[in-house]
Amino acid sequence: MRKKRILWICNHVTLMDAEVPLLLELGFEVFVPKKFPKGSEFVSCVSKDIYDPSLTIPPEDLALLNTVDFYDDLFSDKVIDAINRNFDIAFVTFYEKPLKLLVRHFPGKIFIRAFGLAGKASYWNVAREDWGLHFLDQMQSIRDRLFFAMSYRNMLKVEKNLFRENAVFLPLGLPETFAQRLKNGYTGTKRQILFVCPKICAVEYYYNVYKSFKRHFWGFPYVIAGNPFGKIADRHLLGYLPRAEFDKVFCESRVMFYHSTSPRHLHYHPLEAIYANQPLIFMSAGMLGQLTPKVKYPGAANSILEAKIKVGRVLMNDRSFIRDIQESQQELLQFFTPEYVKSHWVKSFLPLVEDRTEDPLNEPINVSLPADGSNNPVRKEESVKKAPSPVPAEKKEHVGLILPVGYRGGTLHAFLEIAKMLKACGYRVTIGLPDDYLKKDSVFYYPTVMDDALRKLENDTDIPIRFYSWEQLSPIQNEDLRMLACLRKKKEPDKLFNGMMNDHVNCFCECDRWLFVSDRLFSGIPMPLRPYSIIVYDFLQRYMPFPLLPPNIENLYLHSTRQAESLFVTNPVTANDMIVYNGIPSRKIFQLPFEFTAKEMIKYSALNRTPFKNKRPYIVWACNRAWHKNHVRVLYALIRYYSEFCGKLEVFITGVDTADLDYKNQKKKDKEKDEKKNRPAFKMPQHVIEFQELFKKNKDILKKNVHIKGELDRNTYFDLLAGAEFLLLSSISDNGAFGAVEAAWLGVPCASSDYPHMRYMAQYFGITPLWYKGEKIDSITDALNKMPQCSAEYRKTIPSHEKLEALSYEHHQQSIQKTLREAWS
Amino acid sequence: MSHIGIFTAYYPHVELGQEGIGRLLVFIMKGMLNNGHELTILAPSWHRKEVRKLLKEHSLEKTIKIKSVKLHPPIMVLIYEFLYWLKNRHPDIEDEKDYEDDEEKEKFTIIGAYKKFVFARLSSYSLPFFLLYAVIIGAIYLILFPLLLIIAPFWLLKKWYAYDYDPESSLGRAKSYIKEKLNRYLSFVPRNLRSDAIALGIMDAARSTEIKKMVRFVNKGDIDYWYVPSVFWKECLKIRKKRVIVVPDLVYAEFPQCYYSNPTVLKDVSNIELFFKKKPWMICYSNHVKNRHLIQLRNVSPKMITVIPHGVVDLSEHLKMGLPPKEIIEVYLRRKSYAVPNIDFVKKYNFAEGRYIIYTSQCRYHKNVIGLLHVLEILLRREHININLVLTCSNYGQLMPFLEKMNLTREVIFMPHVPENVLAALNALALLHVNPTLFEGGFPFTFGEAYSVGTPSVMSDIPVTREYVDDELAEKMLFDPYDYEDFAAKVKWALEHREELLALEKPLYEKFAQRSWDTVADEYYKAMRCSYRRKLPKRKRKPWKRSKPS
Repeated sequence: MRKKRILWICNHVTLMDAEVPLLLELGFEVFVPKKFPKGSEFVSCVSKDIYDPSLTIPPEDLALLNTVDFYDDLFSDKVIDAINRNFDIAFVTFYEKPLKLLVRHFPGKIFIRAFGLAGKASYWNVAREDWGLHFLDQMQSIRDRLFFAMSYRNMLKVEKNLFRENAVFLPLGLPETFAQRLKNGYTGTKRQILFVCPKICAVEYYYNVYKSFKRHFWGFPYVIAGNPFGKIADRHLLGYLPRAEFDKVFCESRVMFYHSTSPRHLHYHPLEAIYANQPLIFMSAGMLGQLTPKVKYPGAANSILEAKIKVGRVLMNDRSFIRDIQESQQELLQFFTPEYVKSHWVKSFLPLVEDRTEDPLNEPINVSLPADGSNNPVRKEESVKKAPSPVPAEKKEHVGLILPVGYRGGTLHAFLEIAKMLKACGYRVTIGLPDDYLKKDSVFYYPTVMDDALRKLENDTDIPIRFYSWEQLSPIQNEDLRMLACLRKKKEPDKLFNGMMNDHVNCFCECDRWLFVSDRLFSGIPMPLRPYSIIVYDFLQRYMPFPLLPPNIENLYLHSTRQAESLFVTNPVTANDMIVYNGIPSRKIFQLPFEFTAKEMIKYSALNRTPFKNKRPYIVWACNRAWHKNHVRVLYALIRYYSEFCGKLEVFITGVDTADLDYKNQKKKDKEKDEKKNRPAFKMPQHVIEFQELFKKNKDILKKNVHIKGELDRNTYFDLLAGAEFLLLSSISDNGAFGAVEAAWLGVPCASSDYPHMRYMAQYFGITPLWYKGEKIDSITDALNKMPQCSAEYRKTIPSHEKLEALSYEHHQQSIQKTLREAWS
Repeated sequence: MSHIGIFTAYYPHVELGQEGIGRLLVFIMKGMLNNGHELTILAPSWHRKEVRKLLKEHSLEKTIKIKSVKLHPPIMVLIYEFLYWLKNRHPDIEDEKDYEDDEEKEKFTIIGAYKKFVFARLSSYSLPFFLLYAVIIGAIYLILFPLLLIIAPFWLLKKWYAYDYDPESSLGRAKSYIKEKLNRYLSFVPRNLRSDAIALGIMDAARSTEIKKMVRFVNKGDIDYWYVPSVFWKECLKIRKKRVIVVPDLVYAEFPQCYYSNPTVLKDVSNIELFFKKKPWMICYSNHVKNRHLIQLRNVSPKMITVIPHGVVDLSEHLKMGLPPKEIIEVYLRRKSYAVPNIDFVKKYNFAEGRYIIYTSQCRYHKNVIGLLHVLEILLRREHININLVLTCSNYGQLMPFLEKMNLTREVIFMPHVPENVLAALNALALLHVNPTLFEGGFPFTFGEAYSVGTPSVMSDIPVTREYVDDELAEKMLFDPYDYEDFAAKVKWALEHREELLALEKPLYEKFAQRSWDTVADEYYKAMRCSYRRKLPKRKRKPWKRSKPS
C-alpha cells in the first residue's frame, strides 16, 4: 500500500520547515505549492522543492501542480482532477480561495490550519461574515471530514459550531534549525530594550502597536526592529537589517519587550529571545502568559506599569531577577519541543486519518422511530459505518434565475434560453418573473407572459415559474433581518443591500444562488442571503451625451455589479466597459456565448413563406424608441438622400414601439390622454418629439418613401426582411444587434454603425456589414447611396446556414458548463 | 409516582387551544397522567383563564392543578388587556339569540321620553294649563339656550362627521382629509397591540418580572420535575430542579426573509439568543431542527440536544360518539357562530357533499398557504377539478387581500377556532388533506389527524417528512412546495386515486400508531430525571517557583 499523500497549502517558511519534516517522519508524502502571490501578506513565505523527491505522484501531475498558484488562481478541471487523484489529505491555511476549492471539490479529509486571531475574533465568525452563508452550508455538508487544526488549545474558547465540534489540537512545532545561530548568544552589553514591530506602514494594527509602545516607554532606551515597509522619521527605528546585523542587535540588547495581549496568537521573535536566553518581558493576558494558566512567571506582567517596572529592573541590571527570568522562561519552551509536538500529532492526527469509515466525531443520527417504544431518550451512540460525505460540487445546484424588470422581446427570449441552457447543464432552475407583467397600469403589462414563457420552454414542467414583486427594506428591517440570519451586525446597516424578491413563498431562498439577467436592479441590491451573479448586457448610459438615469439609480446598478459574486457578459467589449466604468476586477467577469438560436430561423425557413413584394426596391430599418437608435441623424440622412441624391430606395421602419415615431399616432395618443385625465401620461422622450417634428416638416418628401410599420409579428417581419435590399441597423452603442444575424440567415446584408461591440459580434458570426459612422449624417447618407450598387457584393459575403447554425446557443453547452463551473466554484 | 410541574409563560393574547403548542401540551400531559404522575401547571397570572379553558376543553380541569404566583395580573397588563379587548371585540358579530322578536320594541331614550312628556302636556284642552305649560317650557328653553349654543357646533360637527358624503365631492374630500388628520392625532391607542413596539415592550418587561417570581416559586416549592415547553423564557435557566427545556423550532433562523418584520418574533429572538449563550441542555422534536437549526445555524453543541419525536394524533374517538360528522358540524354552526367570516354562506353550507380539500393549521409565513391558494386556482380553473378548500386558521385576515385578488372568496371556507370534534368531522368529510408547509418542527400532526378519520394526506417534501416517508411512498405522497406544477399534479393524482393513496399510507400510519403519547411522556420523564447542572471552579494563579534540582 502506498503512503498517504498530503496536500500542504501553506508556504510560511518556519511552519513548513517544522511540520513538513514531521509529517514525512510520520509516514506521509507531502506536496508544497511552489507559487504564491506577492504582497505583504506573503512576506514570510518561500517556495521549496526539497520535499518533491519524496513524492510518488506522476511527474506530469507534479509539473502541473507546480505551476498553480493555490492562493489566487482559478482552478481548471485538470488541476482539480490532479489534486483529487493524487492526494488523500489536505492541509490548508485560512485563505478563502484554496479553502473554497478544497471544500467544494476535494473528497478527502481537510484540515484547516489555524494560528489564532487577535482578541476575541474567531475564525468561524470571519468565515460567516466574509465568505457567505452559502459556503458555510457547504462546509456543514462535509462535516464528517472537515477538521479545524488549531495550534493553541485556548482557541476553543472563541471558536463556534463546526470549528469547535471538529477541532483537533495540533501544536505548532519549531524547526530544528530555529534560532540555532542565536542559541545562548545573549550578551546584553547594550542597555536598551529591543522591540520587534514589522510592517508599521503597511498594517494599521502594527502602527498602533508602535505608537502605543512609544507612548508607554517614553524615556527608556530602546530600539525597534523589523521592516517598516515605508519611511518613518524615527531614530529608534532600525529599519530593514540583514540577518547577521539583526542577530547582533538581538544579542546585544539587554531585554526584549513583547507587547501582545491577544491570547491566541504568538509571534516567533519572543521564542527566539528565549532561545537566545535574552530576558523577555511579556503580558500575562497574551499567549505566552496563557500557556500555563496556573503559574505566573517572573517575566509576565499583568499591566503596562508592571511591565515597565520589570523592564526597568532588567535595565538596572538586577542580577537575581534576570536569572529568575532566564531560568523560568526556559520552561515555556517545553510547549514547542519536537517531542511534545510529535506526541500530540500522533495522538490526535493519526487516528483521524486512519482507514476507518467510522467517524468518532460525527454523532450518528437516529432517524427511525424506536420500534419497542421504550428507548432511553439519551440515546447511546452506535458506531454506524458511513461513507464519507460527497463533494458539494457534485450536488445538483439550484439556481434561481430572476428577471429584475418586466422586459419583453429580445431580453425575455434570451432569459428563457438561459433557463433552458442551465437545465441542460445539470442545474435545477426556478424562474422568477416580476409581477409588472400582471399589473394593468404598468408599462410592462403583458398578461399572457406565462403562455409565452411556457411555449418557449417547450412546456417543460421541471422549471417552476413564480411571480414576485420587489420590496425595499427600511434600515430597521434590514438590521432585523441581519440579526435573524446571523449576518454581520454593523452599527449602520449596509444601506445598499435592501432589495427582496417577495414571492409570498420563500423569496427564492430555496435556491442555492441567484442569477439575474440584466443589471437593472433598480429596487435595491438583493439582501445577502444567497450569493448572486448578474448577466450584464450593455452600458448604454456610458455612451450617451446626457444622463440617462438619475445618479442614485446609476449608483445602484454600479454597486449591484460590484457586490455580485460573479458577472457574465456575452461580449468582451461590454466586459471592458464594466472593468473601466464600474471598476470591477476582470477575474470576476466571465464570458458566455451570444444567446442566438437558429431554431426560430429554421422553423421560419421550413414554412416556405413568400417574401414581401414591393414595386420599388426597399430597405428595412429595424429599431425601437430608445435614444441609442440614433433616429434623428438617420432621418436627416434620409432627407438628404431623397432631396439631394434623388434616392430610389424606400424605407420601412419596424420594431417594438416604433409606432410612436409616427406623428399621426401621436395626435391619437394625445387625445386618449385627454379623456383619461387621472392616469399619469407617459412623456414621450425629446428625441422622439424631434423626430416627429422633423418628419412632419419634410412630409412631402418622406411620405412616399418612408413607411412606419410599427411592431410586426416575427414571421411577417421576416417576410418583410427577406424581400429587402439591406437591413439598416442604427444603434450607435449596445451589446450588438441580433437583427444582423437574422438578416444574414435570410440572405440579406446589413448596414451598421461602426462601434466595437458590433464589430465583435460581426466577427463572431462571420458577417460583413456595410460600416458607416453613426455620428456623422454624411456618412449615413453615403452608406444609403452605396446600398443599391454594392448589395450583390455584400450578399456574397454572407455566411451559410450551416455556419450560423454551428454558432447557435444549443451547441455551446460544454463551454457554458465549464464557464459556470469556474465562476461558481 | 412523581409530581411534575409544567412551566408556561405565554403572552396574554396566545390562545393555547388554537396553537399546535397547546394541543401538544395536552397530549403530553395526558400521557404523563396515564403513566401515573401528578401534574401541576404553573401559569402566569394573566394566563390562568386561558389555561383553564384549555384544560376544560379536554376535560382535564379536575385532575390538573393550576397555580400562579399572583391572582391578578399587573395593572399595566390589565390596561393592556382592556385595550386589546377594545380593539378586538366584534360588535357586528353577536351570539345568535334563541328566538327572534317579531315585534320591534320602541327604544327608550331620554329625549324621546322628554318629547313625549312635553307634547302630552301641550296637547291639553284647557287654555290656562296650556299657557302655563308653554310659559314654563319656554322659560326652560330660554335658560337652556346659551347651553344649546355651546353644544350646537359639536352636535353639528358630529352630524357632519357621521353623514356619508360622496367621496368624489368636494365636501367628501374635505371630510376624508380632516378625518385622516384627526385620526392621526387621536389614535393614541395602538392600532394593533400584537405588533406594537411599546405594548410589546411593556408586556415583555411584565413577563420577565413574572417569570422571575415564578422561578423563585419553583425553587422554593416541592415539585421536583419541571417541563418547560418553550425557549422564549431565558429566566427559566435559573430553575434549580430537574428540568427539560424544549426547543420546538427556530423557524426564523431558517426563514429570516419571512420573519424580519414581525415584532413578536424579534422580541422573542433576542431572548432566545441570550438563552443559547448559557449553553443549556435542550430537547427538540426532529433531527432536522437539531441538525439544521440548532447545530448549524445557532452553534449549539450536538451533545446538548436530545430528540424526542411526537406520537400520533388520533381523532377517531370523536366520531365514535354516535353523531355522524355532518351533524357534528351542523350542531357546531348552529350553536355558535362567532368569528366565522362569511357566516351566512358557511352556516348552511353542505359539508357532506361539498367536495373540499382541507388544511388544518394556523397561517404563518412558512406555512405556504398562498402557495396552496395558487394551486387551488390551477386545479379549479385550469384542470377543471371541482373542489373547495377549508382552512382552520384564525388569522385569516391577512389572506383576504389575496383571496379577493384571485377571486377565491367563495372557494375558500374558513372555520377558525373549532373544537377538536369538529376538526375530526371536517377531516373525515374532506376528500384530501393537503399540507403545503415549508417547515415543521416535527412530523406534522395533520397526517395522523386526517388518517385516523379515514382521509389520506399529501404533504410537502421537506426534511422532516423525509425522515419518515420512504422514497416509494414519497413519489406519490410528497410534493415540492416551491413548484406549483408538481404540487398541483400530486393533489390531482391523489384526488383521483383516493382509495389507493389511503392503502399506501396505511403502513406509515401504523408505524406512527405504535408510538403512543404515553411513551413520549415517559421519554420526557426520563429526560427530566437525567438532567443535571454543572459548575466550573474558578482558577487562581500562583507565582512561579524554581523547581528544586532532584
